[in-house]
Amino acid sequence: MTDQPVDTQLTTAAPVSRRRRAIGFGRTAGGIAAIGVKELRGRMRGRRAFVIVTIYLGLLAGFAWMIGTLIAQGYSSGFGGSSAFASAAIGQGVFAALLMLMTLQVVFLAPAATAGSISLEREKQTLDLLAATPISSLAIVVGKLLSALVYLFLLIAASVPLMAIVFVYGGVGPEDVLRGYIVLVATALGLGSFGLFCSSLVKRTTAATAVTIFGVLAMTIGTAFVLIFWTAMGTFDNNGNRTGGPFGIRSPTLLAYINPFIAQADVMCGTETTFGAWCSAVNSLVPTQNGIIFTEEGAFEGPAVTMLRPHEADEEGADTATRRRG
Amino acid sequence: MTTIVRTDGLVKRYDGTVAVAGIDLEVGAGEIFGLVGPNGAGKTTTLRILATLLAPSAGDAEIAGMSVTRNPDQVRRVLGFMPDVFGVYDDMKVWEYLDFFARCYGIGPAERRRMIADLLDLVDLAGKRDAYVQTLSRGMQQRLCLAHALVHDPQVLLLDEPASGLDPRARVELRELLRELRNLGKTIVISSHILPELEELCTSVAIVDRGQVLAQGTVSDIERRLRFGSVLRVRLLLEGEDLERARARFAADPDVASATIMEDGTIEVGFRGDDAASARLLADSVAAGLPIISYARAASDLEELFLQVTAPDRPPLEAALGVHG
Repeated sequence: MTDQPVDTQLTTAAPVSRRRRAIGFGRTAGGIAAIGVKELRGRMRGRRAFVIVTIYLGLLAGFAWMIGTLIAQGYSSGFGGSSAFASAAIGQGVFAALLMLMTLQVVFLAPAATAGSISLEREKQTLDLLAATPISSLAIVVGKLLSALVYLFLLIAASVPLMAIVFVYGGVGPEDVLRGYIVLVATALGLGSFGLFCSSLVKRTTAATAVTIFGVLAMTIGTAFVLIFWTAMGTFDNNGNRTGGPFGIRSPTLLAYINPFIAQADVMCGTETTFGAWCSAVNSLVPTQNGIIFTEEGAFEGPAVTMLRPHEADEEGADTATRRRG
Repeated sequence: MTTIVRTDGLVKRYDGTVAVAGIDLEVGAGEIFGLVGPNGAGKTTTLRILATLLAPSAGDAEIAGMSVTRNPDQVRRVLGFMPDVFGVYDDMKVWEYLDFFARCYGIGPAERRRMIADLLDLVDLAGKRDAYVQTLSRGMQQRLCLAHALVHDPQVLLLDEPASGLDPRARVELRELLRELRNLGKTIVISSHILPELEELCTSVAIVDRGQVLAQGTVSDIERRLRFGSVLRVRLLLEGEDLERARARFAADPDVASATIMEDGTIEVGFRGDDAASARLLADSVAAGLPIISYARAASDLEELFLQVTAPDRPPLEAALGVHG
C-alpha cells in the first residue's frame, strides 16, 4: 500500500506543514464559498428577498416613530419628568425599543434559518453526494451557517441608517449603537450555530426545529426565569446586598451570559447615566455583571462538524444513523 | 491489468447484524465491474465503504493504491460516486448543480465552464442547461447525477443501482453512456439486481449474497465453472408412457443428476458432464432408438447463474464454486 500525499515534491518538514496548512485553509475557504454560492443562489433568486427588506424597514420605521411619539407625549403631558431630558429620553427609548425588537427577531429567525440546513440535506438525500466530495465538514458547516445568516445580516445592516435616527435625539452614543449591533451579530451567530447543531444531531427537520425552539426558549425565557426566581428567593441586608438564600449567595451568572436579552439590557444600561431602569434590571439579576458577552458559537459549531461524517470522528457505532440497505 | 479497486476482508457490522461478511474484490483498471446480488446482499454497504461514506468494522479497501480509511480525502479526489437513492436540490438550475459540485472539488472558473459544457453534452442534457433540476425527468436526473460524479474527471466511478426506476429507453441510453465512459478509460463499479443490463455491459462480475462473494470473474468464466450444473433440454417425438420411459433412460445415465418432464413435453436434464459427455449421451440415446428432435444446452445467462448461486438452500453449486473457484 502506498500513501500518496498531495505535495510529495516538498522535502523539509516545516515548509511541508506550513504548505499543508495553507492548502487546508485554501480548501476550506473554497468549500465555504462553494456552499455559500449554492445556498445564496437559491435564496436570493427573484425579487422576493428585496421586497421583504423593504417591508421590514417600513415596519421598523413605523415602530420607531410610534415609540418616539409615545415618549414625547409622556413628556408633553408632564408625566415623563423634566422636559430638559426629553430629547435624550426619546433617543434612549427608541434605541432600546428598536434593539429589543431586532434582538427578538434575531432570536427567532437565526435558529429557524439554520435548523433545517443539515437535516434537510439528509431528508432530501443530498448529503451523501456532498459527503463523497473532498469538501471538509468544517466548510460545509461554516458555509451553511453563513449563507443561512447572510439574509439576516442584510436585514440587520439595512436597519443601521434607521437606527441612526437616535443620534438626532441624543442620549445614545455611537459606541452604544456599535455594542448593540455586536450583540445582535453574536446572537445571530450563536443561535444560528445552535440551530445548525440541532440540525446535524437530530435526523428530521421537524424534530430538529422543535429541539431548536425548545433550546432557544430555555436560553432566553428559561435563564431569565431561573435568575428572577433565584433573586426572589434570596435574603438581603439593609443595604440591599444579598446575604443568602436557599441556593447560596452567588447567583448563577453564567446563565445570564447565554441570554441575548440580558446582554442587550446591559448595552442599554451603558446609555444610562445613573440608576436607569435597564441598569437596575440587569443588576438585580446579575449583581456581578460586567459586560455580558454572548459566545456560544464555537461551542455548537464543533459538535456540528463531527456529526456530518460521524464515522470519521467515531470509528465504530456512530454511523449506524447513516446505515442503509445493501 | 493493474488492480485499481481492491477490498481486503471487508466486514461491516451494524449492531447485531452483519451487512458485509468479509468481501474480497479486485477490479482491474478500465473494467466495468458488476456487483450482482439480491436486495440486502451487501452491495450498497460495500459501495458506501468504497465511497468513504462508511467505515468498515474490519478489513480495508484501496482505490488507486490509497486506503479509504486512512486517506479518505485523497480517495474522494479519484472517485465519483452515484448513490442508489439520491435527491436533487430545489431551486437550482442544471448548470448550477454541476457548478456547485465542481466548486466542491476546487475546480477553477474557466475550467468549470468548459467542463460543464462538455459534461452536459456527454450526458445529453445540453438543451436543459438552464432548466431547474427538479423539473427534469427521472432518467434525466439520473444522467445529471452521473455527470455530477464526473466533474473532477475521476479514475473510478461507483454507481449504485444506476438503472433503478428507469424506463427501458432510459436504461438503454444509460448503458450506452457507460460504454462511452469506459472508452474514456474510466473504471466503473456498478451494482445491480437487474441482471440483463450487467450481462451485456460488464467485463467481470462478482455475485454477492448475504455479505459474501459467491463467485467472481468474467461472465463466461463463472459460466464455465458452473458447467458442473448445466441444463440440457431434449425434445422427443414421444408422448405418455414412452416419454416417461425415455426420461427414466436419461435419469439412469451416470452423468445425469436429474431428468424431469416439463409441461411443454420436453425433458429437462440436469447434467454434470462436460461437452464430450454431452455428445456421448446424445449418441447413446440416438443409438437406443430415441426419436430426438432437438437436444441443446439451455442458455445459461447471468440471470440463471444468479438464481442458481443465490438460491436460499444453495444446492451443490456453492460447494462447487468454493472447491473449483
